[in-house]
Amino acid sequence: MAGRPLRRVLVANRGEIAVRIIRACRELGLETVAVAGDADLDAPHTRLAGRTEHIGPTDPRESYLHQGRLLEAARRSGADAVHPGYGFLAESATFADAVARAGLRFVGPPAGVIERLGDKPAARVLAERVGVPVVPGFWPDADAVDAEMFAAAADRLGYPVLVKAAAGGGGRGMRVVEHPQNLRAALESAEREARAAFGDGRLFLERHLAGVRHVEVQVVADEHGHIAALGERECSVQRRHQKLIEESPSPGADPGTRTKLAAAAVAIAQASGYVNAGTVEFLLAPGGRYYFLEVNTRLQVEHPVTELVANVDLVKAQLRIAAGEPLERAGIPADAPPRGHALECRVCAEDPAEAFRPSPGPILALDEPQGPGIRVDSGLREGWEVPPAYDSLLAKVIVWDRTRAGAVARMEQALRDYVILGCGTNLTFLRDVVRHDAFRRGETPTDFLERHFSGWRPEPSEFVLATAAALAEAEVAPRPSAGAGTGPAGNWDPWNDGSGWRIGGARG
Amino acid sequence: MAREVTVRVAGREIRLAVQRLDATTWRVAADDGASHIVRSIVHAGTRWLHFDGETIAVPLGGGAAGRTTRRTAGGGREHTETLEVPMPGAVTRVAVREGEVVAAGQPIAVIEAMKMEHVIRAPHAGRVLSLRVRQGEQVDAGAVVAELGPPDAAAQGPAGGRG
Repeated sequence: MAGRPLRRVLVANRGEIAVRIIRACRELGLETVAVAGDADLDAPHTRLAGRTEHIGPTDPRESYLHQGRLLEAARRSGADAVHPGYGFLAESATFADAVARAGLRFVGPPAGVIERLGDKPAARVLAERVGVPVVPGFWPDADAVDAEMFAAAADRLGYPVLVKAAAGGGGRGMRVVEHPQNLRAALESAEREARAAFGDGRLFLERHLAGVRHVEVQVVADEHGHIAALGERECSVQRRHQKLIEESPSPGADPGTRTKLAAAAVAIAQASGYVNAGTVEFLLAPGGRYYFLEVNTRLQVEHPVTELVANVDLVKAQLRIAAGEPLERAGIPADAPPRGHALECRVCAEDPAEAFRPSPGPILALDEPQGPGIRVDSGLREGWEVPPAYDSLLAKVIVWDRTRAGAVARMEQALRDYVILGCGTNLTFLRDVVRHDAFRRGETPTDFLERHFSGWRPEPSEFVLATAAALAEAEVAPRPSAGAGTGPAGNWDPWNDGSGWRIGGARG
Repeated sequence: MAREVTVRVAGREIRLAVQRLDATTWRVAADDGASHIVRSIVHAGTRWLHFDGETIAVPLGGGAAGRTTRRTAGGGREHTETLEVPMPGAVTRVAVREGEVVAAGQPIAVIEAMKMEHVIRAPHAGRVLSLRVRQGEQVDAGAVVAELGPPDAAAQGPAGGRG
């Protein structure tokens, strides 16, 4: 690498993204330092890293969110750079600043940029200044949530309205409010959730637009004034305002829209003084109207779909840019027309039949899919136990093929091959989603799951149900096969008993 | 060695030959001779099974969860609801007191797991007979949060630890 090469990178994260970053560091010949709270001391990411720093208890506030402990770990391990991953402190301007003050490189944008864009109301002002349309909304000046002012603003905007956290991300602190009488309760719970998740309870309102898609543009900028837009990702398949399936290119964007979105994203990045990888998010309405939503000043969960269609490695690019390299030497082409189609499914420890409620548990058996065009970014290992203290994301299945139809077929195949026993997951749900006609047609507004999958229940085949009963019988009373099989030995009948078998595992 | 078992699914008898290959792998042959590899393991009272994109988790012994009905000594039917934690997590809030009369849908406690809030609500109006969790406590799936009796029930917790 160039003038200010990195040598040892502390990865201030866990799970699949820590694994992903550690691998990229190793490919670049960089030494790696993992960090772990109590529950993660033997987690997969710690096994890959050159060394692991124990940074405290399981509670993320005392470990992955604890700036002092992370900086101390960086000092102790002799790291010269910190990669924050996504979530946790990835979009904390104070952390980026503290890292820089400690004389370390922060693998992400400078603190000032994070601060400017991380405050969502301020980011909207910036977008409007460079001529990018924003969603109509209400952004109060005061820090405290004044329910009366919000109610008046919601009446002006018209219901349904969206309550969002000023410091938000990942759908936390976000609520759709259909009726005025529900606004106060939504404000209270959103404020509590936002305070817990971000230490910042400020809220704002947006008009809830119907029939829109969530489309975002990946940008990468270097310290030398170059900015590249690497195409768009569509992330409309969401539950609880959290993305579940992402793809690139967007089936809802024509070439003209694609060009306009890229130009808007570059204008916003430029105006903010952006450096490193970031994502500019938009809502795309039917007919091609688009509205700026926010900028995510970090690596996104769904970055792999861009990597596959743009043929880049965003994590390696981030590291090279942090070392002062220009875009071209960081492996980012000036112009990257998308090649083929990529899809990503997020495999989560959650029960789609029970409002996506978390279902952490032990990984008793694990087979991850493989084959041409299939990539699995996973934070799993057989024999490990998924802790309840962290995000439910376990792994991502990313596929590529020349056409969208080919990619969808490949995704279905990959999901069918994925075996996780012991920890309830959404794998069967994801399979059903990618099989759905509307998904196959690319008709995926942000309410796709509510529209087509509310009340979804798994429908196991007769063979699966019969096998479960047969194995129970075979394991309980092992007998030689001779003479067996006369009469119904296992009378368990999932349709008639009240035992409540379920896909998610946790009994309800 | 394969073992033949006949089971009943949705009222239909199905004959399968099953053979364990290793700790989590079985070969299962149907009547028509087609044989499939199925992954399965039993853990903590639940059978996990995967075949071709379908994963199911079946509680062993058909243990019903969450609801118990007891008869009182007087012969009357007293309905007691055991409110359980649906997933492991941390109790971030206990919203009621023992003995309190609650309305249907009223929050009893808030559990946080994987960064999501899950509100445990009273399924019907009633009296909180006992509270079994404290704020800040880590709980496992199936742990009893509270017992809810009819509104006119005596406000005392029955004996017994967490479920």
